[in-house]
Amino acid sequence: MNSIQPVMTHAQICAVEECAPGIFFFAITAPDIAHRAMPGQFIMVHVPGGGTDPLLPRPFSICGTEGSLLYLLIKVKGIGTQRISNLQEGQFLHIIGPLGNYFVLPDRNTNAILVAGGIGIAPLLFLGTYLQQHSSPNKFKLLYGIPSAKEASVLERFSHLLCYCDIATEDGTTGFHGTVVDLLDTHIRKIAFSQTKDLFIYACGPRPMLTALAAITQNYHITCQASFETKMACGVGACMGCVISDRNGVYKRICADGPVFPLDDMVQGVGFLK
Amino acid sequence: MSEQILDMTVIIGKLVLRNPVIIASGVFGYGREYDGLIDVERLGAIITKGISLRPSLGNPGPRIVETPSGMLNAIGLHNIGFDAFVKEKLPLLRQLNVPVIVNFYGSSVEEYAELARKLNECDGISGLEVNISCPNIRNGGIAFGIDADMAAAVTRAVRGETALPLIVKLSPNVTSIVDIALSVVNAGADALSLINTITGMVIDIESQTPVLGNITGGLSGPAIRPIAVRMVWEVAQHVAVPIIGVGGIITADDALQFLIAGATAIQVGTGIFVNPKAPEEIITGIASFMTRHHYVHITDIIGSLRVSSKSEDSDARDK
Repeated sequence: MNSIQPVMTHAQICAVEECAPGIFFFAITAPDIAHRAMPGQFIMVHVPGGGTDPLLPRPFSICGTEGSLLYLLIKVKGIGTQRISNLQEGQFLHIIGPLGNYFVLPDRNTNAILVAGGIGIAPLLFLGTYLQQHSSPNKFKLLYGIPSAKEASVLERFSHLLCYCDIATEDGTTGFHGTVVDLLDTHIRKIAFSQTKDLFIYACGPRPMLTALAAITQNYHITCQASFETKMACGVGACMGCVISDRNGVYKRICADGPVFPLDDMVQGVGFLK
Repeated sequence: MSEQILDMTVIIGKLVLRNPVIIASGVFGYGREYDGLIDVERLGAIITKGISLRPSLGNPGPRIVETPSGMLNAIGLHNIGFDAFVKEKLPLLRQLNVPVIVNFYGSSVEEYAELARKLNECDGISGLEVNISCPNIRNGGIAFGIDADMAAAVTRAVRGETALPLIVKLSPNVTSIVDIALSVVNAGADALSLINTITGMVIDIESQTPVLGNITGGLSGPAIRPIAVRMVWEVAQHVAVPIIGVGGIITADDALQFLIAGATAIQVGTGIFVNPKAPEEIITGIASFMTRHHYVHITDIIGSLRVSSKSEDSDARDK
């Protein structure tokens, strides 16, 4: 059961803009959710337009809050996200939240590295902002992996995090040339081995990225929490539809037991890449 | 006319429901997952996720996929088992002022009977719904629901262990649902729920693999509603026990089709994913329908389908 009871609400869109090709930033008014949401939590968004096709609501990580405002970053992947992205300022999103668990925050002596792959940046923007505002831990770094420089404009909305951020692009058009996991590896190599035990990694991204990341965190014995993405039906832990197998073969509900799990527990589960 | 003076009471066996709107098994976990989103105490009843004697891990993922106006699921009856249900979930369910119906299944007739006997001894259970129709597990479930004799054997065995209102949930994946219904009623069922999901399949053409981990799954949602309405109507003409209609109900209009076809009550399943407030809105919507059509007792709507002699004639011609 969720310790924080979710609410269902019609949230008015205060601002919407295509902040990178195919990626939309939304600021919506949802005080009951914004005041309580923690980094790592998500909301379910009903696809607008009435009718029953598409039928199910879509889960999205919360990428920030400010007063009564809730921020979302939505990448157009199909008909549901297409319809949501067509909404205009002043219209409403029908949402449920806050849902799921959240990142366990690091203590002051820890150095945190946030590793984002593509749209996986969303919950880590919320976490990064939270860490900055609470000045805990002393230091953190945000590593953002994207295909090319074009998607880097997502960060313009989050300029307060630019000084913490290093970008990796697959085509080398900006920042580090390679994957975000390669970039992480070069970062860790600069740190004295004795200090890697003070590192804590937070991650969100595609499953192949998380698999590559797990190889590094296991090699250096670094603790890593990852937020998992999947398709959901209920979003509240009732339908058992969104499970992921842990290392013991137990199916965990991503919506209610997660979406944040210790990476090590999940990456060894059966069908992780399915 | 206000909602208060409308009589929405319906009776399922010896179970009296304040209204005919029930939340279906499988979409509502163990009754508390939707806390804060659904006021269950306004509802007729709730039905918990199907449980088995021992815990069941369920199927490997992916377990769900969206389809046109519906979804396929192959959860595989992932559940915590009887002991954990009684210890961890039933005390929380007892706190709710709403009848709790427990859905359960077994892998043999004996297991169905044993579980019925154990559930019969528990406090806080208002009725039992026997699942003989899950398409997503190999042993049990649908194996008992597609054969009239097997369905009757399970029903008889369970009936012998409990005096609780006994509802049997039927599969639509059969040639004649009327035959199964008659067989189950003769074996002692107090009521029938119909329909469970319809077996289906979705293929990912790029990888040329099935999308679901279980290959096939059960189709639910508005896509199956016309089939469910037809089956309720067919069965209602042959059995005297109450029928609980389920299949793609999201609005009061959907629910009313089932009542008019002959259902005494309805269940909302996949619909609560679309709108958690759907069950409550259905109650309000039925009330306004009753007011608009000058009905005082909801029972006067049940089976009120009017079939003109003309359509009966064309029915006869088709044969």
